[in-house]
Amino acid sequence: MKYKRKEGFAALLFILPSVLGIAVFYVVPYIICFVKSLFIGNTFVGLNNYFELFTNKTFLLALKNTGIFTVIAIPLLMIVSFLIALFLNSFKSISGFFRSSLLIPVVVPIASLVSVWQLLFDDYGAINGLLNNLGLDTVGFFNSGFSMVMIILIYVWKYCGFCVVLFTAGLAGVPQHLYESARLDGASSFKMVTKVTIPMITPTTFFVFLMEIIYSFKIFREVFAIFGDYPDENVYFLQNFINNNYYNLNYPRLSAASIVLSLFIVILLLVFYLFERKHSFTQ
Amino acid sequence: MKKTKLILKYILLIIIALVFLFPVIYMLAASFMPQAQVNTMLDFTNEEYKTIELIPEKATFEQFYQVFFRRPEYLEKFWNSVIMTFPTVIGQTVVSALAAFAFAKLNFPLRDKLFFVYIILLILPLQVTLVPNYMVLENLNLLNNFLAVILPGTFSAFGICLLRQSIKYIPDSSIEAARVDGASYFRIFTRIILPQIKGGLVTLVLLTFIDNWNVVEQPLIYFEDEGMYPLSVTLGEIGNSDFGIVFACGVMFMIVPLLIFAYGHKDIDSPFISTDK
Amino acid sequence: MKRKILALFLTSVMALCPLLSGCNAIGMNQSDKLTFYCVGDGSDELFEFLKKYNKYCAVNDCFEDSVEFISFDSYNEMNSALATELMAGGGPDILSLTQTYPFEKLVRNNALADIDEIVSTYNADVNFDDFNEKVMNSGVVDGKRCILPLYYRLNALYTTEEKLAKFGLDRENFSFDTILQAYENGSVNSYFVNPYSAEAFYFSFIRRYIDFYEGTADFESDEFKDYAEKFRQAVLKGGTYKELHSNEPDIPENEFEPEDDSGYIFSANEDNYYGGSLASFAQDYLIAMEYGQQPPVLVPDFNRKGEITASIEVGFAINANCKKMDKAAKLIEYLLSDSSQGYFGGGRDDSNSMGLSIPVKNSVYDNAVKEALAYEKHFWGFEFNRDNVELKNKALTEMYIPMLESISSCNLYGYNSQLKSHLYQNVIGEVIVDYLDGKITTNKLSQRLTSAVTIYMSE
Repeated sequence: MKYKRKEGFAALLFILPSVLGIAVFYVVPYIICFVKSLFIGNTFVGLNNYFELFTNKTFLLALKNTGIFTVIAIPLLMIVSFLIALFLNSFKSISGFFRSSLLIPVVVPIASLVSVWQLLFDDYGAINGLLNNLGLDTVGFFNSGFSMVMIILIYVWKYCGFCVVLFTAGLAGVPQHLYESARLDGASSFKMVTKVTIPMITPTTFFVFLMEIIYSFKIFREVFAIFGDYPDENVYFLQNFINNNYYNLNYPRLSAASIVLSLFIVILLLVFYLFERKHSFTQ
Repeated sequence: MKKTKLILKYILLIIIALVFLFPVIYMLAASFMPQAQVNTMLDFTNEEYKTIELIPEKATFEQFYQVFFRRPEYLEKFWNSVIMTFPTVIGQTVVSALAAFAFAKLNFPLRDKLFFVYIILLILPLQVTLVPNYMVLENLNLLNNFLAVILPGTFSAFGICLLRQSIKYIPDSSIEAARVDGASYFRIFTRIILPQIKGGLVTLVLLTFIDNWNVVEQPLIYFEDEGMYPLSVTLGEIGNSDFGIVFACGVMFMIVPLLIFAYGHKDIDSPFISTDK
Repeated sequence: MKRKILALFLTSVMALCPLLSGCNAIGMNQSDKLTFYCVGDGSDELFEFLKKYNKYCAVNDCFEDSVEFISFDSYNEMNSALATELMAGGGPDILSLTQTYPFEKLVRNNALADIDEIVSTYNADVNFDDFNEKVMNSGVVDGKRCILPLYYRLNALYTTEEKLAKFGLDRENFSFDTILQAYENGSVNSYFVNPYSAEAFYFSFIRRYIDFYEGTADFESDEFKDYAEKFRQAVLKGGTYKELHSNEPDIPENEFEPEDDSGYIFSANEDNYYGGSLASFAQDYLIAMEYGQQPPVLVPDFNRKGEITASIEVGFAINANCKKMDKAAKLIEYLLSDSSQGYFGGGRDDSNSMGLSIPVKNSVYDNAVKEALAYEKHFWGFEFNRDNVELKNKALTEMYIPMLESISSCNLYGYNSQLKSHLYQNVIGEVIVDYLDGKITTNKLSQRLTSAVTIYMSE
């Protein structure tokens, strides 16, 4: 009994700076945001702001775009980085150079690369030059549906290396004997991957998923750097909406939209959490 | 047969590496180009297709010269970035390590529920707390002060989640043994835990550094004084005025994170690697 | 133990909450008086009116009704203070149209008070029938009157008969097409000597394609792209945007000194967009004749439908969060009264009185017309030539006044203030400058304008 209390007390001391900081800079603002979303100016309007939000076509556009991006980019990145991790794993040994080169995109700051993206993706950029030489039409990467493609490509490019590192570590944690016994049972490589590898790295996958969600919202910085405040309507995200409402002095709408955004994320998280619980294969 | 397969694999590997490195190589190459060449390169309205020119017409340090010696404002902004990032990284590492230890190894009431709150806060995008934070900071009189960006960054939940995973892999037995020997928790923390999570710490430092080095939204809203803006904000605006030095500025901005990366990349391990690997 | 810690945690959070969010007293509008924000010692035209109101209050012993000026050192500071306070439910009570607020949004998200309601609730002595209907209607959005114009000016450009003849232009048929034609003929260097006027002109051209009241924009048509391209070349005089700003010619201080603006359609005067009051037009006319120069000729800057329009010169709105609506009512009553409107309406005898464009009150306007027609003596004492006075009256009755009476609508932003508007500064200004600078193609201009404005209007 005495032992436990001491432990509890020590724990309190350890987490105190963190909890205080989190309370002041995250929890309190979040509560303020929620409270503000129920008011217009000084009058209490209850859920009116939310109703208005969902009938606002620009908000729905932002919601749609954020949804599309999340649904496409996250699984895509997961698959690509997983495949690359498998591929790297098949080498006996890889020099650190390759692993580092994959991580470089994460390290390079966004602002430095904006000009490069423009050079590549502009209507008269290098990629279009290549497409034209192949006889295809110019793709308007900056102002059409392909803007989303461009942003997804940038997202995958940027965070692939990091996910590869995570997956590599996860793959390394899979006990070799499982592969041995599977091979003895006559399983093909494909079967081995699907029946042994994937289930065994479920915790890693979950962590990758978590990181990807965090980064999928950070991609807003790229969008902002390339397009500014008012991007093309295909890449107009919820964060743009919130940001712009700040400059439009529309705080009730801003707060309501922020709360909606956070609910969106919590739901996403819960879905995957439950999915992982259900299919967990850890022994 | 096996050999050709191996060669093919290596080729694929090189291609992959190139794809990832390409924009960076391009930027480096372009930073050595004379300004005139950069201007024509970035001229988007002459209706010609851009070709990737990797070889500068004449390798010159002109751009760097302009950035370092002629335009002191960029160096000032660079210094602002440094002031904002270093304390945040150090602060976050310390705060997170302390709290992660408690979450991973110590038992206290509400531990798991509190951690769940942390996870939610972790993935909450910045915009949600950006504006209300303004009010909090104003009440604390921290606006227009670098602390307005440093403090929220220090207390981000990211570090705790990352380090908790690392610490979890340390076997409980070593902690128990130390307790039996009468060590205080703090001693256990410094002597046993910290040395063993070096990988996690390095990863945290690097990722936090990158995250804060790139910060854009907060300075725009919390700082009134434009002289306090970090380079991450100004670099985006350079494109509109000083085409010629865009690449050199980008390189300069990139150097610090790259250095840190070079220093610590060997230690970057996923938090899932157990200690006996 | 569990419960104790839970209780501790919750109470600490709850204690922090009001501490950090409730105490917005710092900076919140605690004053009992109506507040107005300004930078420095107030470079806003509304400022003069408010100062006059304060004098009136002092004289009439109702000092508590006067306006309090809260001054800031810079626009940045003012904007940040504004942002926090509006967030906290406060903010300045009086918002001037020339300040950088996103009025397109404010009128739609209940941030501005309904002036009709204020007037009727507090029984202010104001009857909107006494005012110029077209101009007053420009402040009504979705049936709610949230912006109150005080003075307006005609959207017209300032040139001379000689130039019109020289460039083959005609007052009656003045339009984009004709001035583009003049440029293409090669007889014209450009439209304006002053590059800022060129930029303002270009922006007003773009604004024609935005419908503030409907919240729509129309930049996709070929017509727009065509004009955008041609005007750009004409405005840039064949050079680049940077050159336009670096080669600023010397603009003479006194417009009556001979200046070399022979290659330009519009005058070298900084205030190219003619907005003077009737009396100052009369004075300009007579003085020009006196010095043997060409008198001013006004050409209307038609809108897309070929109609003559005006724009608000001085206007304001009341913050919906204002807690002193009764005082606001008194302010509105004063500003729309004969004495206030008349003071700046022009026609008085001191040097400051040439007037500040056109007043909205019908009775004051009629007075201003009378006084302008009767103007025949400079306030320094000398009388103008009789014949010239006749000519001046003719110009007034056949040119200026008919244009004023035939306006079809009124814009919120005038030429001079539009570059300060939120729309320009934060939404599309950069795109336009990029285009003028030659960094983007016309198609891209069209696309970016469409997406930016559509999104901005409906955000």
